[in-house]
Amino acid sequence: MIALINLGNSNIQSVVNVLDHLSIKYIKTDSVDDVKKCDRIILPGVGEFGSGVSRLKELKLFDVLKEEVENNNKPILGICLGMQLLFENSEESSEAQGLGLIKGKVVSLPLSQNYKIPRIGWAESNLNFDFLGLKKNQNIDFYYIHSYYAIPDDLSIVAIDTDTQLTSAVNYKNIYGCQFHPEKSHINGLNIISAFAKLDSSQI
Amino acid sequence: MRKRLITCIFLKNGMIVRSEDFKSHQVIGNPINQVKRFSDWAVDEIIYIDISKTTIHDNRRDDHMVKISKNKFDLISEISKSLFVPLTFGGGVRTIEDIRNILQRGADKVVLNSGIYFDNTLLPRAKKIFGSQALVACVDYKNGYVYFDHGKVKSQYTVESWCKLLEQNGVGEVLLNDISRDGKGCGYDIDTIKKIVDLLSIPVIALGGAGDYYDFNECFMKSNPSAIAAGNIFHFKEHSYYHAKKSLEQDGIDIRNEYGVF
Repeated sequence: MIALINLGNSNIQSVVNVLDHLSIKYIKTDSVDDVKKCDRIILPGVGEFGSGVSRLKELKLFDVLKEEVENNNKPILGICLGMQLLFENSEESSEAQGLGLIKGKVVSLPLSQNYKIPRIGWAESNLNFDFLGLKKNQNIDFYYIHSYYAIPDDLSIVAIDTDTQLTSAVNYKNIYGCQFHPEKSHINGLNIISAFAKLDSSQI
Repeated sequence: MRKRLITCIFLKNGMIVRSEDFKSHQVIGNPINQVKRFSDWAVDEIIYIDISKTTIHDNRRDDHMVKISKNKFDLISEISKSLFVPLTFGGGVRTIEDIRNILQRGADKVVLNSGIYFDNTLLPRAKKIFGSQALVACVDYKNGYVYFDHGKVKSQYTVESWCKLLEQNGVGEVLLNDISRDGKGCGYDIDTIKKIVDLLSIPVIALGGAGDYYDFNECFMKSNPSAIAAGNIFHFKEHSYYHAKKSLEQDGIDIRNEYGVF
């Protein structure tokens, strides 16, 4: 059973629709007990880093998530802001501390001829290693919508980067994060969510 | 980042309509039936704009096989269930509650238009709550000036001044709609699109005027918007989305070349 964290303002319905479509079992929840009961976690989110952190704290989920992921080895999939929240801090809200499950920071997207900001749309994304059902060296288009992106201290955990060498997905032990929206990336995105639901946590 | 080709669907009282001149509307289909087709085509994104002036909602058929929706919010729920690409919804959005309702039903972005003009606090408030990335501003213009209320009210804003103001107030994307080209199939307004693309640092989506596939190529090549949207052409031509993408590919436009099933 997946705990799908509901932070309130995010458009969580897109993720709900995919889970329903794929007949994956989940609970949409903001409760500590549900997170403890489930064997894996999806943390979606849109909006500002600082308000994401505040919501996690208000709901008393901040410490529970760290505990369940770090000590109980539950797989977690962070999507978009949910991925950024896995990191230590963000230029978007300098006073807020993220979950720090992954060492590194979130920074503003650099200006580029390749995109406008917010960076919205489909971008070719390259697999550096196997990631949730996808294979190393595959090139796949995913849908992005963001103004910030994560830079892990250890760049070897970057599973996918996009056309302009931006971190697109990370995997460190049982921790998975996608800057793009798998729930909005048609079949390739749905496959990622399906693979996450089927992960054998004993083998991570 | 790929260039996006967006299907734009106009809804009136629960049905898909073909729009011309921003005035006449001919019913052409049921949105809940159509959505599967667009999903199968693996379209880059879909924008729905509800142009109803009343709250009457009528999907016409209530027989077997056809699901019906009770109101526009209910319709978003139905559509988003089987659409795994970005979904943008707008039309008649006036309040924070409207925006929240649309996003919670499964849309990713909301199109704002006259609501920003009639209440100048709406956009800054919405930005604070939902973030710029969820907010698209549709700019209806004709001969250089911006119009509101379904193109009925001419404002004192030029396209440039209004777009700049929208960007400053935190909109995430601009949907630039030349209403004088609505349903005409005469090609896009290259000059204005180029001017606004150069003026703004946020993405611009061009709308209004697609008559054949080459209009997309020309618009991307000469005015360089982040995305192009079109409505009628995707309803009336067989496999039109596929052919439009192929046409762009031939001219070397950097598009997402995933074609789905037919």
